Amino acid sequence: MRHTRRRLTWRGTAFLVGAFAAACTLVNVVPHGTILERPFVVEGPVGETLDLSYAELTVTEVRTADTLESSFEQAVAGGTFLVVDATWRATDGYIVFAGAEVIDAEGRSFWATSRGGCAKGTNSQPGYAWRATYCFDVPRDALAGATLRLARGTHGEDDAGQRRDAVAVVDLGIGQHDVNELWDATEKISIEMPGFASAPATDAGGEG
Amino acid sequence: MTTMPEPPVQAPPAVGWWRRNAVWVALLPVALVVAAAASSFRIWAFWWPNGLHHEVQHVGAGETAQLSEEYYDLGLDVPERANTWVVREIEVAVTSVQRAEELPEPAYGDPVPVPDGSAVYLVSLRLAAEPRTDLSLCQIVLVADDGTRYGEKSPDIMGNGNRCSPPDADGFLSTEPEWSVTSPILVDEEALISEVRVGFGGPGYVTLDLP
Repeated sequence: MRHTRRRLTWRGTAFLVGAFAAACTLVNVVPHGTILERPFVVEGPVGETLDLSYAELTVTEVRTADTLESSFEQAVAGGTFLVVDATWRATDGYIVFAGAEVIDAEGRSFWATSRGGCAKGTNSQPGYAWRATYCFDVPRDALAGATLRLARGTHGEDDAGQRRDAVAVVDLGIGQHDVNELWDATEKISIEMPGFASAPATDAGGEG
Repeated sequence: MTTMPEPPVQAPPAVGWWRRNAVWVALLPVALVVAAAASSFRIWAFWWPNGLHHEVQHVGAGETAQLSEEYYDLGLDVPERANTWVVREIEVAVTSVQRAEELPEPAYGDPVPVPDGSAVYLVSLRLAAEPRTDLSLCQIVLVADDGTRYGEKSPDIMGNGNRCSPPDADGFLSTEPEWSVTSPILVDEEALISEVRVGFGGPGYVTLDLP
């Protein structure tokens, strides 16, 4: 009897150690960032309404400018300002849209700036469409192939705020042949404060 | 001399694994619950207090609801209540929900036209509470039959951050035992509104059905 109990104890210990080692291995081997924590990306071009489940988003216009003007500030770009007009329409309840960044073709991330009166983030609720203008100060080599990434979850080094949540990725439609024209333009843009959108986004589309 | 035969030694009955480990098996679900609770502290620490999550009372059309809830007072308006838990007790009744053609004057800036695809509703409430009741973070929400919540944000669409106080109120404390307020809410044109929710930041709120 005693012999049997001891043998079982050793077996149990080996089982526990094995299970612990297997669990540790699993945690380390499973690629969290690309599988477990991956956001649900909804892609589309400028002008298309994307359905993010918690809101509909339409990027209506993309421009570049060297200088931004608002009623209280004038801002000059280090590179050039990518100026993006977007319209949000919340679908469930009040939402803060905190994530706003431009990703270039190399994967570099440029966060939205509040300079010149631009929106770094915005908020909205059901019942109306809400317009906001985002601005990103980017270098020349970030223009071609740049995509815009907007979401309610915050952007950051590891996009922790966007885990398992819908994220809009909009191809800004800038090709290599557009870069010279966009970079050389010395435009000055007046930034409007966020407000009700005159033309609501209604025809939902995009990839689910 | 005769020796009595020894009685045969009976082997003890075999005890199965489940029996030997009954205590640990019984404790396993308890351990799982404790582990899940310990790793879910963000739910009650951050999510639960921020937003309307707990329906304190649900009343029918025309009835009066009573919202009674504790909140942590920072003493911004009543210094003697600073850093104490205070029970806020308010009676709420919906007196009317009417559609309007225009938005009221904003708290600041120029008048705003009704956005395309939107409808304006004016929600009128009768409120009653002890004078000096804190009315900050007041939320008046219209809920559609599909669950969409309109008007959750405080300040409201016109920039009024004191939705449960009369328009001429000075500060967030009630002054009269009974008073009325009207709050504008933008709603999708095709929405069918079925109830009103009133809360003060959460987690508690009351629901009042509409006829």
